[in-house]
Amino acid sequence: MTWKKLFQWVLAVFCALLSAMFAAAFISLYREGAALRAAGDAAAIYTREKLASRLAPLLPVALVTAGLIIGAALPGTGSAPSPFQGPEPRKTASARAAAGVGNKYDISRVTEVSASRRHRISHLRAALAAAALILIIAGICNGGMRDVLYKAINICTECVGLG
Amino acid sequence: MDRIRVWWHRRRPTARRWIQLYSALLYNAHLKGFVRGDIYTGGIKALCVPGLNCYSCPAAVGACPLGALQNALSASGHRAGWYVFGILLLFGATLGRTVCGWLCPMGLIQELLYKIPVPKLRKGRITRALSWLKYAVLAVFVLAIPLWYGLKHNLPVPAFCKYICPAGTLEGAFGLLASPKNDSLFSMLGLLFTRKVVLLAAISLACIFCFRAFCRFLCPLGALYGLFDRISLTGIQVDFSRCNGCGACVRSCAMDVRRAGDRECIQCAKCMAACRQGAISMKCGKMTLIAPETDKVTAATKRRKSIAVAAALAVLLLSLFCFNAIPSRLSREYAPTPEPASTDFVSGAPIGSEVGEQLADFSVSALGGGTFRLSEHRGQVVFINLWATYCGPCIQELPYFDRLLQEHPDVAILAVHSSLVTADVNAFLADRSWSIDFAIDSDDAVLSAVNGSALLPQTVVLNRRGEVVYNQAGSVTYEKLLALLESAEHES
Repeated sequence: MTWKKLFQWVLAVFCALLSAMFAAAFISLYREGAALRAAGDAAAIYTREKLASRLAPLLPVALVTAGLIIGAALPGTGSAPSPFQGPEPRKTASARAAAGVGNKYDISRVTEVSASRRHRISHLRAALAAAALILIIAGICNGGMRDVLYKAINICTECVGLG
Repeated sequence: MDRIRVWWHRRRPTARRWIQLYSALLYNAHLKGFVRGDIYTGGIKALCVPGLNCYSCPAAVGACPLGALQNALSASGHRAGWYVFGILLLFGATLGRTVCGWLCPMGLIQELLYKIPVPKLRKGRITRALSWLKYAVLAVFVLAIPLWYGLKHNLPVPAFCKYICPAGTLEGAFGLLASPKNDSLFSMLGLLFTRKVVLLAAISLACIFCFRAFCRFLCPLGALYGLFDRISLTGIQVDFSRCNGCGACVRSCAMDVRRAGDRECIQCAKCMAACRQGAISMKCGKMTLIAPETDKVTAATKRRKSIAVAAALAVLLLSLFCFNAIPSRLSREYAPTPEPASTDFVSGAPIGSEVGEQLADFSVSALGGGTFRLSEHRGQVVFINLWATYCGPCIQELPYFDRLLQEHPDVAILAVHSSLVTADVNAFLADRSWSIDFAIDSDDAVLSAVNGSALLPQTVVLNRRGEVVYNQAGSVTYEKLLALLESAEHES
């Protein structure tokens, strides 16, 4: 295992640890508050102070993780592996068939779109755009646009997860 | 020096990254909301933005298309959501999944998380199978549940926003809770919030190891736009006269695509760099937006690009100025609270809406006829509830107020619907035989007196002297109402 790989695994462990500790802080706070509520204490489950005290132990792990991420971003240190594997050299049809590329990536489905089909698609697109505009105008007329506005400026708290 | 130059060359933001940042900032141009702890309430919020961006974020200036769709389906019993369907159809036909790759703030966050250098989970059969999950999320949480509850129970339940959406937790919940002015919101947090935070932590972790994990496996907006993959105006196009079918585009893509530009393709155009044939280009109709690297860049193209960048910057600066410096027409910046009209039972407490202050007098026309004047109820414990027909928790808690009135007839209860009426409140109440007083706050008199926020439901409790003993947004239970009644009577 290279140093770069080892570094990536260490960082992965810290990220997972941070994420788990973050979730655990909220779960434990909720469980504690819910138990108190069940015992008849009407105090709030979450308060800014309680949350701060639960999240404080995360700070060292967060700082180490941030340090590792910054370290990885510095010139000359381990960089993020690219999700893109890059181009492969051009292959002949027989080489592609031997490598099974055609089946794996379903290249056989890549066929040129005929002119008449392209024509049909552009007609369909124009029809959909026209339908969309008609629907929007109908929506403005029937008050649908106003509905969107009112619901966006008068937020139902539970509907966004505050509850 | 060379090392730094190479480092910068490898890591400098691409044009796509700039556009992602630009759109995220444009969707969230009301930056002062983070400082003030409130949300933008201007008329432009009637417009849906194309990407996933929670409208409860203090900075959001547009509506979320998914939230709007769920609300429209919930309300389809009394009004068809043509406007939202039209907007989504228009975005789908013109942009398709280009929105995911270029214009979605959640996509940007996921890509930044993926930059953390850890061992990565590459695509394969499992990820490809999981990519169907987002269609199930779309069908169940965005379409079926809101429609079922809306039609069957006349109850708005935006299930995706409520139970899953990480944008809502990150931008809406954390955005609002971050402001010290919203400390009272903490008291309403419970199981729902805990579940969503845990889900957010899990999704964030998944995004570090797996490219755009939320986008690929859970996002219903991506699933919706994916349906337009063959017809959307903007997207990547393959020139088949150049393509030799080598499959480099598919191999180089981190999404679960089977061919360039299919339903899983977010049109990020990264495959253009992988194509040695120069067969892939990004087009909008017949106009080429990004030409293959093998093609020469003409002076005219460069000039057009400069003009587009200048225009985009001007729009952004203008938006930032307008949304932060100019108060909106519907903005609820209330005038100073007036002096009480009646001097009866004046407690000596200052006028205001905070706990311990005396609520200013107001009068509002009751829906059943007559007028509810607050000063006439001095000497009684008064409950004021702000609700709306489209707010599920509001509707669920109204029977508790009715029960309280039945069991304690000496209290006064007023349920106030905001002047922003989206449905016929009388028709809504006709099916229900509640005996509490209902009113529509047509001139914002109640909202102004109680300093009502943009968050529903909100409950205000006054003791017999007219002093506020409770004023908070969030749902209440019957037991909570009894406790509040006891507290108000104790303080009277």
